[in-house]
Amino acid sequence: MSQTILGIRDLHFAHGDLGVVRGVDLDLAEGETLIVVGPSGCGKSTLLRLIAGLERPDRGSIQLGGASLNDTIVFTPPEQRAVGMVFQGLALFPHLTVADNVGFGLHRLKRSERTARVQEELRAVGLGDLGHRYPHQLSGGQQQRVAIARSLILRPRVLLMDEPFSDLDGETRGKVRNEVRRILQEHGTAAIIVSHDAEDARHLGGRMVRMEQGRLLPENDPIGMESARSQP
Amino acid sequence: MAITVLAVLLAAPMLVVITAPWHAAAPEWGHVARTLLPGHLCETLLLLFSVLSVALAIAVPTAWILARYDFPLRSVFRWALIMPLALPTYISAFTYAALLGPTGSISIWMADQWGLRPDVVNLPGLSVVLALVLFPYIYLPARAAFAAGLSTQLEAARLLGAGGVLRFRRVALPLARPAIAGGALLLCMETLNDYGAVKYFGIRTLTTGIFRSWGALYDLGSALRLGLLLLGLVALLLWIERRSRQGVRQDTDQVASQRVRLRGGRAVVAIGWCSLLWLLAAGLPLGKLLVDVISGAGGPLMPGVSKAMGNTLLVAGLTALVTMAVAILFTFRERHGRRSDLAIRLANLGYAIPGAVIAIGVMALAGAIDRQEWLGFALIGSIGVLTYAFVVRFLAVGSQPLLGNLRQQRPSLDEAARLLGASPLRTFIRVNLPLLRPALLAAATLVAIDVIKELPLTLILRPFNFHTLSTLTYEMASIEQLREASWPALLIVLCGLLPVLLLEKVLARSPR
Amino acid sequence: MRYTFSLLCLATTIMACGPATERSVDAEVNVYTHRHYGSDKQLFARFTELTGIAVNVIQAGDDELMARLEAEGQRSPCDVFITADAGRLGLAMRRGLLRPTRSVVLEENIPPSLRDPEGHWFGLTRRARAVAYHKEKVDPASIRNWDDLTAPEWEGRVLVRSAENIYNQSLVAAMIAHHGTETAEDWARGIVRNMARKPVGGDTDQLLAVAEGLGDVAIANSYYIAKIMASDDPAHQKARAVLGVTFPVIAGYGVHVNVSGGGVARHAPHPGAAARLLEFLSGSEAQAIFAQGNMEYPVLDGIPLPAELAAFGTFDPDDLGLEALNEHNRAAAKVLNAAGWR
Repeated sequence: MSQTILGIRDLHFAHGDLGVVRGVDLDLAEGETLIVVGPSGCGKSTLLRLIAGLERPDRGSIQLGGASLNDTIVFTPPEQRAVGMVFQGLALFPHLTVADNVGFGLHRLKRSERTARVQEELRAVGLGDLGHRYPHQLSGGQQQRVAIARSLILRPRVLLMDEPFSDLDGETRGKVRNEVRRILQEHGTAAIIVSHDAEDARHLGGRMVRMEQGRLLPENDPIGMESARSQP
Repeated sequence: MAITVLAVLLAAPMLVVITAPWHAAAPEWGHVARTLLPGHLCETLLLLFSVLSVALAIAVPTAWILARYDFPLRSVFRWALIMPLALPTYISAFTYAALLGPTGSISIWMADQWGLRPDVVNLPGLSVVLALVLFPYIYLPARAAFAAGLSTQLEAARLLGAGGVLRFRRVALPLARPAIAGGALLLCMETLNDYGAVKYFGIRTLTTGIFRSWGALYDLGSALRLGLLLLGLVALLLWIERRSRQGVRQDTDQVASQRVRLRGGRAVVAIGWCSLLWLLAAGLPLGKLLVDVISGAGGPLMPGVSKAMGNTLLVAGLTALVTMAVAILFTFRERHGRRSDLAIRLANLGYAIPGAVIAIGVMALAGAIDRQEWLGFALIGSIGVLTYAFVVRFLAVGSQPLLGNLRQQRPSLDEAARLLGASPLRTFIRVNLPLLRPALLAAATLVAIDVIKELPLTLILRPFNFHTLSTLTYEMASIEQLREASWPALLIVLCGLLPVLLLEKVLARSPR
Repeated sequence: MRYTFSLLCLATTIMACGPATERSVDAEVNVYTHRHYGSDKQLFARFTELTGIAVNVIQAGDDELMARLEAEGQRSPCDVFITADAGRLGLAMRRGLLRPTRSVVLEENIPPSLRDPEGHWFGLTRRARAVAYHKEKVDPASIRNWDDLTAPEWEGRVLVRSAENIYNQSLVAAMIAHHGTETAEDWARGIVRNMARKPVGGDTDQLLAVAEGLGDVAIANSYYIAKIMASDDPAHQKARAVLGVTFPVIAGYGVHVNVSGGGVARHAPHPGAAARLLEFLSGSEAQAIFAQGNMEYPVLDGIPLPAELAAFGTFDPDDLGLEALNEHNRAAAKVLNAAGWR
């Protein structure tokens, strides 16, 4: 077994209209893909937001690569966490081209260097010649790949994906799932993918856990699997 | 920190008003509260209610027609119906009185012809006159809301068999409510602080009460207490506006949907309605000014008009620039910092306060600095302080559209930028601000138009020999030589039309 | 932060563009005036022509101008404060905004009753509160006295503007000075009862309303009536034909007259030039322009009146000292408020 990259202990959160998280413990190995399934409102999106640093937990700790991101004393702001996230709805910047979207996080690099890196990343996700387009000029699957490329170009330790396939139709969905699997494998990036569909877990070939009412259920719980499969 | 300092600086004149009960004696307050307050408060509320009702009745259906239907001349009406924005309320009120007042030329003619004498110089008349000038404040945001954001819901309603009226009433209106409420708030504030038109029509409002206490009773303390009451009323309106925003989430899918083409009788009705509205709101007052100028009744073009025009455009441009800079900073604070900053909220109240009251606050502050003789020049009477006073007065006009627009930007855009390593400032500059650009231009334009029309602040805070078009108009109008006022009045409207056209261009380019 | 800083820089730059209020010796004189008539502009230009002293003007409401003078304090650039009401001049004096000026010319030109004995302010023109009546409907002999208009026969026939207007206030202030608050309040209530309509518009609007038959008499200032008589505006021609003018007296006293005038500001940087300007305005050339250009009664004797004003005839002015107008203005405003005069 390879090394643990992300460790979460006893994480609690309850605020506003976000789902509640009640005492989550989780370990993620390097290069591992973890799929979190569960009904809407079970707290799985909140879990991602906590890992990303978009919310402050009430209690508990998050460690990334051995360093503490979040405990009783430390809180690392999201821009310093080296965590990538693909949002539900993607959150591509509508006023920027595909290339500028992907290069957004590289603003400290020189222009020529940045252009080269962006081109390389776009080729890796199969969008090599679409850099000059705007997001709304792309198909849903292409937009998905732009969002992934935008996160992965910064080489995050962990990539978080919130319902990445929910907006796609059946055929595209299957294609993009395979694509994501390939990209994650090529980069060797650990990922947590949140979904309400257990089908996704099978195709992505990772470990699956089920979340209900803010808690992670014991793995490979057959009852949990059943109820997850019956989700629309 | 620096933003808070700036907000306090801009809220300071308001603080002078708000703290009045603690620092300014009001020897006549008992008398004012007994004799003036009941009548003035009642008529204020009555006027507010009737102006708002008439304006809503005009603006909302008009916005719906122009947003959802296509008919001949639609593109002309799109901008022509913003024209009333360029008309100062007092000019519109004066011309309406000159035409349809008890001694107005049309009234006299009708009395001679049919023995029927119309009279608009009363509260219902003023409500209509003000609503006709101010309705674009509601019409613009409502049209934008109807044209976008709702398309999917409207199409769904259509598939469910809902007709045009039902779609409007059950789907579009509730969803556009926040946009309409925001515009209605600006309209209410304009109505509350109006002085020229209200005084000429003999209506008793809190604003005229302020001047009555200050001028005749020599009691600035009582005047400021009435000002405080006015602020309280605005705070109440703000609260109502916030409440109306709750529970309605703006959909961010801004796909412009197809407009329905009107033909035959329906197209005639649409054209007829828009023409009538334009005629009453802009055509009639403008026509009267034009006739006076062309017939030579307005006399020759006054010397100094071109200089005044230059001054007008200078202060309007300067104020728009500074106001938008401040508004951007406050918007940044709203998005990425502490949410409800009291100083920022206070600074936004200036729009509801009569200009002369703001002038008192500004002079009290600037005078305190001047009297110390720290500076080599005097602040009072400098273009700088005049601009500062304008910014205090019109900040809400500049910042409200930005805040409204910002609320429609998905938070996930910011979060994505943050996770890509961008600081809050960089996120704002690279993501939020570019998306705000159309709203920014529109807001700057509104500020410029308001400055062009503004009178009382300019009058009292200006440098020596400094004229704007509105001070020239006032000089003529205040000595009851209304025909002579037609030249500068017409020029105000023309200067105001430039930004209005720009505004329409900006709005046409943005998807909404 | 960077943005705040550049904003501050911008602000500082703008501030520095303020007017250069050089305190050089009397190359200019700075005027705060409530008057905004064409005749005044003409007069200031003529003064510059004669003396080489430039006249800088800020025109605004008198209450606002007094607030500005107070805020500016000893840094005020204002030399001369001009307003259109004796009450306001007295108020400015009591607030310490004016300084006394001794001038033989002013004392010779202006009768003692029209100026402050210590020279804080000087009346420059006079205007009388008059009644314009419809010649075919009203016998002027029935309006000798202001009290006549409160009689029941006048119900629904009297036109007058708002109580916010200073001319109404100063008329009532004079009544209070002579007969006390209660009598004045009775009079105000009587007028309110007899009003043809709620007060709207200015003096000119009341005059036009008489011509249109909306009422039979209008209370208005002498110069507004004279201006209508001299006007070439077709709307005013009709009024010209039917209006007559009479000057009612305050019972037992004369016709109520107010002045428009000015004084030298307390912290005037150019007091010499300020006095010269006031002297010029009280001289025969300027007084003739006030009369011809703005239809006001001059304060200097022997100035020919324009035909329209001369046609009004003569009257005996109330000899009440003008300081009484200031003294009773607040009481007058309260009387009007209590009487429900809008």
